[in-house]
Amino acid sequence: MFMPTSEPTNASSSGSGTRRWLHGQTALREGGWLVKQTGLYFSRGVRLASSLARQRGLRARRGRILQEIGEEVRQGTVPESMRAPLKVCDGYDEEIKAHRDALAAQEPHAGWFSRARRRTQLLRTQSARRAALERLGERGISLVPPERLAPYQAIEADIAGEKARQSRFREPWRALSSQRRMAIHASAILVSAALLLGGLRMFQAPTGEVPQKVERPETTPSAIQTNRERTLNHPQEFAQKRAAAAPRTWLVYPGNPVMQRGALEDWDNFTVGAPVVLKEGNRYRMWYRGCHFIGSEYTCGIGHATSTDGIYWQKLAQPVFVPQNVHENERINSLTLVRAGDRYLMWYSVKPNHFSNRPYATIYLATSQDGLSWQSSGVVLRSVSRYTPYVEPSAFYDGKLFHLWYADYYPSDEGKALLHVTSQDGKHWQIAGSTSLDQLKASPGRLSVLPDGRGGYRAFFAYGRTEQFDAGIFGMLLSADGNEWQRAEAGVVLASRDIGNGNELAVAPAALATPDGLWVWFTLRPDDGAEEIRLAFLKKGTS
Amino acid sequence: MIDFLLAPSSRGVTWYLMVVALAFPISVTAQSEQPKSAKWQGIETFENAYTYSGRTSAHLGNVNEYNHKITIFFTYLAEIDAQGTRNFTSRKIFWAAEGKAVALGFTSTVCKGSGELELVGLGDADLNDKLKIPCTTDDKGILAGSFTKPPDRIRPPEIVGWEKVRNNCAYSIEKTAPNGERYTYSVQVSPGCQSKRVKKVKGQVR
Repeated sequence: MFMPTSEPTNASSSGSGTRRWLHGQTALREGGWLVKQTGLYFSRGVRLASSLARQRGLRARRGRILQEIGEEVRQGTVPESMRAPLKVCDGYDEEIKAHRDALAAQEPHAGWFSRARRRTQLLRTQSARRAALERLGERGISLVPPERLAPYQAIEADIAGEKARQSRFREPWRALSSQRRMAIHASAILVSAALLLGGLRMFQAPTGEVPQKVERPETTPSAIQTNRERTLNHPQEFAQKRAAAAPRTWLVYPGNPVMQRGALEDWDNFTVGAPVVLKEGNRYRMWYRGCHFIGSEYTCGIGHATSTDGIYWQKLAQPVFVPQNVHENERINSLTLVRAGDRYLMWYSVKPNHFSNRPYATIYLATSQDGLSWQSSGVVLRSVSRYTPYVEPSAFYDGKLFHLWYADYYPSDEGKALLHVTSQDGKHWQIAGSTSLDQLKASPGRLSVLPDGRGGYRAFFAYGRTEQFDAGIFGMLLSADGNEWQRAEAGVVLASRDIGNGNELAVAPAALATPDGLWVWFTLRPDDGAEEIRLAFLKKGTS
Repeated sequence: MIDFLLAPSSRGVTWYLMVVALAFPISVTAQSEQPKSAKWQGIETFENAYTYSGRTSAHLGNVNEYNHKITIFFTYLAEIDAQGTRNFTSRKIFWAAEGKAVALGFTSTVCKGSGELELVGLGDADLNDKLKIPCTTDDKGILAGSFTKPPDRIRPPEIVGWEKVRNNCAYSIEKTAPNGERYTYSVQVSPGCQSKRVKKVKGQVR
């Protein structure tokens, strides 16, 4: 494979045996030399590549320093001799802007080739601009204070050092004859091929079977996804603000939203909203309405998420409950949930569908032992009036009775009232009382009902769209018996601009009382309907 | 083969790495056709239903009814030129609409229809004609004032701005107007959606 270049010594007089021995000796010597040179070839090659990479890095750093100098020169007063390169830089800036404008004007997906070409032009111009800035920086070195030049000079020295190292690696190679180089090349190729083949065999499956792709299970409860990265300091900041807040002050969590809709491939790819939160031990549990909407498929279900701090929520990869009936799962509107002893009861409301002969808004019951596996008990309530566009029930369990409140046209079609219905089993209900919404001067959506500590109730709610701009986002209702309600005195209000851009609507709050105040998770509904869940906190009052 | 490592200039290294890095993607893209067309496929719906009291028969309660529902499926094909300009070669829609407005004792209007048509190449007159929803009105009394009637024509869906399309694949929206009308729109774009597997909701179905 290799060609010995040194002629055999003149040993013909010693006979053919001696000649063979000498040939053998030569071949052995040449072989040893070749093995050594091949090793050196790889070793020097690696070190040279490493040196070249370092040099490239150093040049890039030098380039950046020169660009910074160039930018500084552009900002300052420029001598006449540098006007020309300055104009070149300005020209590139305009060209880059033109490319960007053109890219923004193009349809990104459709004009794939055109966009790629435009991007290439943009990259090329940006590269040319950097080069021009470097040239400007080189010219402007004399204008920079000497102390600023120290890093530049250090890099220059390092680059010179790398060049010297590279020369040391190259010198022995250059000293070889071309035949020797060819031999070493051939040897290196053989060694490389042998290594490659060996490597390939190592990676082959020992049984010879084709490895199967392992699919991630989609429906197991352990398949969870984290809704936000945990790297931000928002929870600490929020905790500090809560501790320092004055009584009856609203705080909005700075890292909102605390839960967002899933990716396109996920079951809740369109909305997440209508949260209900319970605290069990050190764990918060949230049930929420999630909807999947893509093409003609619009399906909603109930999702479940857990959290240790009420801020970072881990969603299950699949909903815990999806009604079987298409009418129901297309039109789930809201939900409410209580824990009664060792079971959970959930009531979810479904909007009417006048075009499928379902003119009433309805409330369904589902029960569960663990909050994850649910059994439907069917319809338990329907709106009093046909054409009630929706109902949003809110539940409370006092240890004996189940209570539901929701707004409906009652007792007639004349006006809406906040209905109070009670049940002993959650299935069979009777009207306990009502308060006219005109009397309340509010049109609350879903309430979040809490005990007031004196045997009565306080209900937290979000105002309607027009009211939110005047009265703030949230309000409070008070009742001694659950039938007659009145609005609590407005305290410090949370304005719509505090929770979003002012165009969104906050709905369906879920309030949880803690010793230091009220945690409120709520749905924020933007103009396109892509709801998300946010968090706010109301510091406890002194009274 | 690896002589570049010992070449006097680092330019060889750069070129070699560039060639290696580009060789694979170029060979792959050479096998697949560049996207020169896009398909927008979606659905748009309008739905509303309510009752209201009659002016002369308020004691009867909310006797007047109004509802409408319009569903439009659409498939638009667009050719994309080198400048990225979109030209529709086909805009097919299939629509179905129904609606009813009853002012008890005065008038009732019922609209119902469906159709399938290609919008590209259709003249304005034809277009106006084919987008009409057939309606019949029955007036019974002397009308003073106006009553809301169901829509009597459909409007072909628009294509949303590209910046709204999620992951180059889909866009969905749902709105409720102040008058209670629920509006939904969802569109999927090919080839953007071809590589994505959009799952259906599984979960626990009861």
